[in-house]
Amino acid sequence: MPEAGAGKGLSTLPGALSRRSLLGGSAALTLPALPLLGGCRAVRPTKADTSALPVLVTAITAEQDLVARYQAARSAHAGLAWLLDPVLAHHRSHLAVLRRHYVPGSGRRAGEGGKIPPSPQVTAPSGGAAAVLADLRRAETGAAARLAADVAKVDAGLAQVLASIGACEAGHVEALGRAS
Amino acid sequence: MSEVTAVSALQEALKAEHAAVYGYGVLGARLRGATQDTARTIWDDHRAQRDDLITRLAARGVRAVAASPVYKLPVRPVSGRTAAQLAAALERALVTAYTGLAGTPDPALRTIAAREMQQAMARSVRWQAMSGAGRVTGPSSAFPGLPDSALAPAPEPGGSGG
Repeated sequence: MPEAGAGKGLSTLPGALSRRSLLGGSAALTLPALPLLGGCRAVRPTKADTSALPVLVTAITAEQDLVARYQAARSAHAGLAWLLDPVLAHHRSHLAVLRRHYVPGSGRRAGEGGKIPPSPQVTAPSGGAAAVLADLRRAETGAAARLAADVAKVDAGLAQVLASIGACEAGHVEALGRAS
Repeated sequence: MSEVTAVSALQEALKAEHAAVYGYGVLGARLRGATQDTARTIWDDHRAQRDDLITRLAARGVRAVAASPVYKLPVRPVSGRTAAQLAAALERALVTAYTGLAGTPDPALRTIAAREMQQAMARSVRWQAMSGAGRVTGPSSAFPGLPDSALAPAPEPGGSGG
């Protein structure tokens, strides 16, 4: 199977020079248009059935908690706005989309699958910016782990939404770690 | 029918892993020291993941899609900075590719896909930072790998919609 540098170190790729020249020259333009990006087969989610409600309640509760934590962190450490504001915007988007999927039962079925608690009141942890970033990182890591497990419990479309949110949280974890 | 869906999603993920294996092989030559070590480790991970996908397809009696001899890369790696940019782009492509697998009927495959998406997104952010992009705040989108049309529940027949 053709493979760049198979069995060799990256610095000693047998084809490194030829690849560089290939990529660096106009030859790259004459290559057949080989797709790099795999097509994303996004499944349009259906409205969640009742079996998905506990998962949605957990996910929405986690996002509410994250939003509250970031808001508290933002209030306590305005100097971190460059990092916290974009991430907070992501979590608000996650929350809005998850709420669109949450359609609780009515009448005798009201409350089936659990109810969404009110958003928590959160105070930023003491200990300075490093402690705040560590707290946010722990919360993001926990949310990402739960989402990876929960994709197995819901329909295909919602699973993709949860998987995408989990990937976003994992990206936040990395960004928070680099800012610490 | 569901098996066809799982197979096609596995093949899409495999195509992206093939591209990543190729791309890391190319970009690694532009890196030095610890950064190159990081690239080598990730390269090994992608080769292992590629092999795992091939095994899963074989278990379904399906011939895995082969790697192309060459790939058109989205970034030309002529320096350490552009090599890191290429790595970030390859990882973003993997997030998108595994999103399909996250929507298959097989719960085990969904879980694998979700974990791979998380790993790829974290790596993409790491490479973005290593490319000297300045302050890195995480993914550029709140829903990496998904088009906007996939975010709202589909209207139900006879229902009032969203």
